[in-house]
This record gives sequence, C-alpha cells and structure tokens, in this order.
Amino acid sequence: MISNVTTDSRTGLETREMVLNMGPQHPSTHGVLRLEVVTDGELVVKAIPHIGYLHRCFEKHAEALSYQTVIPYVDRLDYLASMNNDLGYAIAVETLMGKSEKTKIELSDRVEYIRVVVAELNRIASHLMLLGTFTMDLGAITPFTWLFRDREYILDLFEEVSGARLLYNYIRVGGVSYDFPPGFEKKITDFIDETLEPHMAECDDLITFNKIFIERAADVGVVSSEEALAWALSGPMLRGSGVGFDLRKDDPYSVYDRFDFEVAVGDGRYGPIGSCWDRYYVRRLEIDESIKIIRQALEQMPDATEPDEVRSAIPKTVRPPEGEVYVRTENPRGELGFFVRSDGSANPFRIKGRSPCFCNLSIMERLSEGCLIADLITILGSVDIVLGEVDR
Amino acid sequence: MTLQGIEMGFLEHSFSSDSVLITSIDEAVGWARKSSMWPMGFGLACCAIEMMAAGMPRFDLDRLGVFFRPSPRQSDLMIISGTVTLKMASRVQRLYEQMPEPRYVISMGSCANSGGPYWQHGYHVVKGVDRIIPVDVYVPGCPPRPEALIEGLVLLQQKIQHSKTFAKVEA
Amino acid sequence: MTTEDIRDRLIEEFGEESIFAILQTEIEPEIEIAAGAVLDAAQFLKGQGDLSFDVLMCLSALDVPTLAKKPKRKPKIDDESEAPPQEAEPEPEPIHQLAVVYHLFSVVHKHRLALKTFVAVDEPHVPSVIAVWPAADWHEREAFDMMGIQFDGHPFLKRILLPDDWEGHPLRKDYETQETYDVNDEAILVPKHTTATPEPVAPATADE
Repeated sequence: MISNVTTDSRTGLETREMVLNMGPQHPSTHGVLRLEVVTDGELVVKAIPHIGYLHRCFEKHAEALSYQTVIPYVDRLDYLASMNNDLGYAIAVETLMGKSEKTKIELSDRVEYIRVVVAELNRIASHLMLLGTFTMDLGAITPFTWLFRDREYILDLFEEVSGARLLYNYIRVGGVSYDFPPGFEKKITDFIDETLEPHMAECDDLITFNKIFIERAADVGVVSSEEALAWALSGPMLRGSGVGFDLRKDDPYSVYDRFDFEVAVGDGRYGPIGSCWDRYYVRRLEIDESIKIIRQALEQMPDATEPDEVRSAIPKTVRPPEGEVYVRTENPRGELGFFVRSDGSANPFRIKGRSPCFCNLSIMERLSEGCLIADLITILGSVDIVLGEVDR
Repeated sequence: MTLQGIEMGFLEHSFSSDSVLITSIDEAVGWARKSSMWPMGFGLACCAIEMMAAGMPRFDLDRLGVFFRPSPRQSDLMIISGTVTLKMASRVQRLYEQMPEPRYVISMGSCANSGGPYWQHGYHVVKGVDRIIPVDVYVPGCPPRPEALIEGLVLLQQKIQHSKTFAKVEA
Repeated sequence: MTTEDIRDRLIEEFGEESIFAILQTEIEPEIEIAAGAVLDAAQFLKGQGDLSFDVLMCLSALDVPTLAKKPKRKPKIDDESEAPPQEAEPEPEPIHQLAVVYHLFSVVHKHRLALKTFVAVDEPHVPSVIAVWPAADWHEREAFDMMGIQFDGHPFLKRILLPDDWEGHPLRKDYETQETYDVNDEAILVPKHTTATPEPVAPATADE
C-alpha cells in the first residue's frame, strides 16, 4: 500500500510513504512478531507491532489445571528464563496460601537459597542470549557464537539439577523438585571462575566498548525516565533510562535482602541516558551482579538437615484460601507479575500473567518514530522480547 | 515435456529404473541434496532456541551442510519449531508454498507434532502442523534436544538419499 | 499510606456514592469503586503529591461468579405492634458480572494500591485510563479481547492477541469455542476444550 504523496520543494521529486510488513517470519524479530512499518524512504514514520501469533491460551489452561501442574505452562511463558517464571509463580501462590494459618507454607533456608542460585544462573543465561542476539541483529555474528558456547555450560548445570535443558519444571509451590547433586556447588563456582568471568572480559573487549557498536546503539531508541514509568516499563528497559528500581532491592522477595549487590543503572556515558547501548550495558553489568549474588548464596547456603528437605514442605494438594493477590518478581526482562485468584478449590479461578515484555513492547510504536530502518532493528533488539511471554 | 522444442529425456522418466547410469546419477543427486539442506530460519517458540543451539558451536549443524537462510525462496527445508497458532497458520502455509521444490518439512517438538501441552484447552492452537502442510519428519520432545533435531535431520537425509529423481518410479 | 487512608482521601474527593468498601482485607485490600468514577479517581491518584501513583503495574479482567444482590435493609420500627405483617423474602436475583482490577504503584512513596470495579456482563463499560497511564493501552485491549469489556475513550480498542475475526471472548466462564476457523480459505477445526481423558490407543498386535 502506498499513500501520502509529497513533493520535495527543492527538487520537485514526488515521494510516497510505503507500508512494509516485517514478520511474522523474519530473522530479526526474535519470534513471531509482526511490525507494520510505514516508511518514508529510509526513515520510519511509525512501526506498529501486531502480536498474538503465539497466543497459546495459558490463562485458559491455568483455570483447568491444578496449581502444581500449571508450572510447566508457566515455564513456557518466557522460555529463556524458566526458573525465574517458576519462582515468580511459586512465590505468588505461596503468598496467597500464607494468608491463612491452615495453608501457610514454611520454606527452609536451603530451599530459598537453591531457588536464588538457579534463578540467578538463569538470569545470566538469559542475558547471554540477549547480548548475543542483540549484537547479531547489528551484524556481529561472532559474539553470538561465543556467548552461546558459554550459555551451554549453564544449560549443562541445569540439566544436572533438573533433568532438562530449557524448560525445567523445577521450582514447585512449596519447594523445589530435587536437591543439588553432590559437588554441584563446586561446579558452579568453577564454571564462574574458570569460564564465565574470563569470557565476559573477552566479550567486553570484542563488542561492549567497540566503537562501531557504540555508534550504532548509543544514540538510538532513547526513553526518558518519565516515559519509562508512564508506560510501566520494567527491568533493564527502566534501569537503562536511569531509574534505579529493582524489585530484588526495593521490594525484596525470597532471601534477596540478605545479599549485597548493586543495581545497574544506565548512565548515558556515550549518548543520552536511556539509549539502546545503556540498556545493553545494564544487562552486561547485571551478569556481574548475578555472579556476586550466586557466590554469596553458595557461601550462605546451609547444608540439608534431612534427606528430602527440599520437598518436605510441598503440600499434597495446593488449595489456597479464597481471595486474590498480585505478586511480582524480577525477571531478566522486567517485572513479572502474577495475579492469582482462588475460589478455595484445587484449581485456580483466574491467573493473569503480567508479562514484562508485553508492557515493554507497547512503547515500540512511540520509540520507532523518526528512526532509520536499521535503527528499528536495534531498538527492537534492545527491548529484548520473548514472544511466548508477550502472547501468553 | 519439451523445452524450446528439445525433448527433456531425463525429466520424462523415459529411462528404466535399473539402468546403472540413472541410479548413479540419482545417488549423486541425492548425496548433493542431502549434504546441503538449507532451512529457512523459522523459529516460532521455545523449540527455536534449541534449533539455534543446534546451529551453535557445540552441536554445529554447519558440518552437516545446514545453513539457515532468511528467505523461503532460497531454502529447501522448513523446520517448524514451536507452536503453530491459528493466527499464524495462514502464514505458515503461505511460506510453505513460497518454497521451491523439492522442499521438506521437519516438525520439531510436540507442539508442531500434535499441539503439544496445549492440545486440551488451546482454542487458538493448531493441533499439529500436519493439518496445514505435509510433514516429512517428526521430532518428538518438549523441547527436543539438539541431538534429537540432528537425528531428525539425519533421517531426512536418508529419505532424500533414497528418493528417486530421474529413475522411473514404478506405479 | 495504607489502603484505609487512601480510601478516606478518595471518599473526601468523590463521596460515598462512588467509593465503596474495602474488599478482602485479610488477603490483599482492594478498594471497590464505581465504574463511572474510574477515570477521575485515576487522575486524582496520580496527580496528588502524597499519593502519586505513577505506575500502573497490572490491569486484570475477571469473570466473577454470579453474585446475588444483597436484600435491602428493612427500616427499624420502634413499636412492634405497628409492624407490618412479615412477608416471605423474595429470592435475590443472581447477576453475572465482570470485574476489572487495577494494581497501582508509586515509585516516589513506594506504596501500592488495588482498585476493583464491577460491571454487568451485558453492559460492560468502563472508562479507559489511557490518558492517565499510557501503559493501559495494551492491557485494556487485552481485557477487551479476552473478556469483552468495553473501555470507553480508548482510541483503538481492537483485538490484540486473537485474530480480528475471532468470535467470542475466551476467558469468560461460559465461552464456547467456534467450530472452525478460516485459514487461507480452508476451514480448520478449532480444538474444543475438553476435560475428558483421551481414550488410550490399543498397542499394535504382532500380526498387524
């Protein structure tokens, strides 16, 4: 469709806007997202995202299943951060159950620390994926292969503890499904010391402070802090704009209040605050902070006092009291919230997943006005969407 | 079939199937086709991540000749990795039709095989991509490991190797 | 500020005809407000310095179970002898309602609030709060798509997750899936939800 003919005053040439379709099959849209792009030559007039191509009826499924069996479906929401999704959901249901003395669950410290360790490892894996795909969108293929190689070591660790590489079904309401195998803590610290930290330094040398990368990303897709709050952005999208709000520090859940770590905030060192480079760098720094948290958690984690301690608090039937709660946790992509309403039975009455990518993507139309087509890909990459979560 | 008045004997299958020349050419063509399968980069959901991992240094699909192409016009394999929804189904069909022949389809993961975990209450999920396009190989798993995807590719390679291009096919 | 204090501020501003009771105080307190007052309350809650709810965390739509209308309270009569003869209480009529729950947060004061409003299922109109929080844009479109709630004042209230020609609103409890869906001019059977366990397939015997 071509429309809006304008005549250039200097040359007398007629130009028209064109409507192009990016996706749903496209190498750079990170899944099945369709962007309807109205372009004026190389400039994008606006890019309207169309979603729903991966709507898998999660909320309808949740109403028909029991609380524990919803967990594999929650895994598949943000499939790059399954542990964090599981954790968010488990904490939401446990919070609702904690409102009544009969159903309250007391988690042992070991379970809490195990949950934190796997959640932070998954945060690192998810950020490695983002660093790789974002740079690949800009044309740099090498970091993608290097970072995937490092991510594979983390997936090996997860396979050892939960049995699966990508979708774990590990954190349950009331505990976790298996304890760490013997020697697992040492494997994690060896991996971090010998593999992850040296490779992150290589990645910094290669791409993070690379002049071409900075030129491509540092002036593009700027989100101011007021806009970020008004559009309910969260996670690195919000922190990249200078708002130092991290749920792990400001509204702590689980045992996050026992750790000493910094909140990475974008500082606009190469361009305005809130650019794509700032968001990339926030994620890069979050890998370092997650490493700190994992080290502290492994040191503070108590040994198991009885053989099946991690499963001992898992109730036979999860039957929360009647009522509804909204509980949020910090996913690698932002604030994952679960609105859980129970009618007292063993099946949830309503579960709404407030996904961070859904809210982060809604600003795409505003951000893409006036950018170049190549910058559109950069902006989309820096939003870091996972369509499973956007469409649920 | 004639092309500009010249009879195309090969394509008319006018050679009998047990001729040594034809079986050797068939084998050679089969070997060439199976050794350079170029899939279209078509990741839908979680299985796409395992497909990407299969292309990465640890599992390395490139040693099998597999090289992801962005456009359906330049690819001969479509790996449906992930859930196909009704909204997406028309696009999947259109992309399949845009691929030039010979074209193959691998259905990767339980969602593409039969609707997967969403078979029961998924009002928007196509219960198996074979309802809309023909499938050559099914790879089970949720998600299948990269090794499982490689096994699916090897099975497809065997199918391609044994398919007859020029020999007369007995009715 | 606690939910009770915020409710007092809201009643001061809007009166008791729009601001109702606090629901589920033991679980997570929610202030019930009238649907018509949603937009004004939202602007008030964002604009007032001591409230400053600048983030709309989540907007959820619910299909609540059929609620019975509470019977009207009888006036107190001092003299028993003048009391009218007791009539049998008529059965309260059940009403099918939809609800919208807003979860708000203030980054400045670090307090949160939940607001809830009910609408009847055949006239589900709620004013849109997109002018107050642009984040509500996609949330309201999703609530419309899944639950059928009409947000008055939303500039582009169209389906967002399901295709535009989908029939029905899936998250309602009485939703029936359509039979087929048209894909490139071919009707594909839409899977119906079923709670029946599938029949196990008999294993192939040796002579097959």
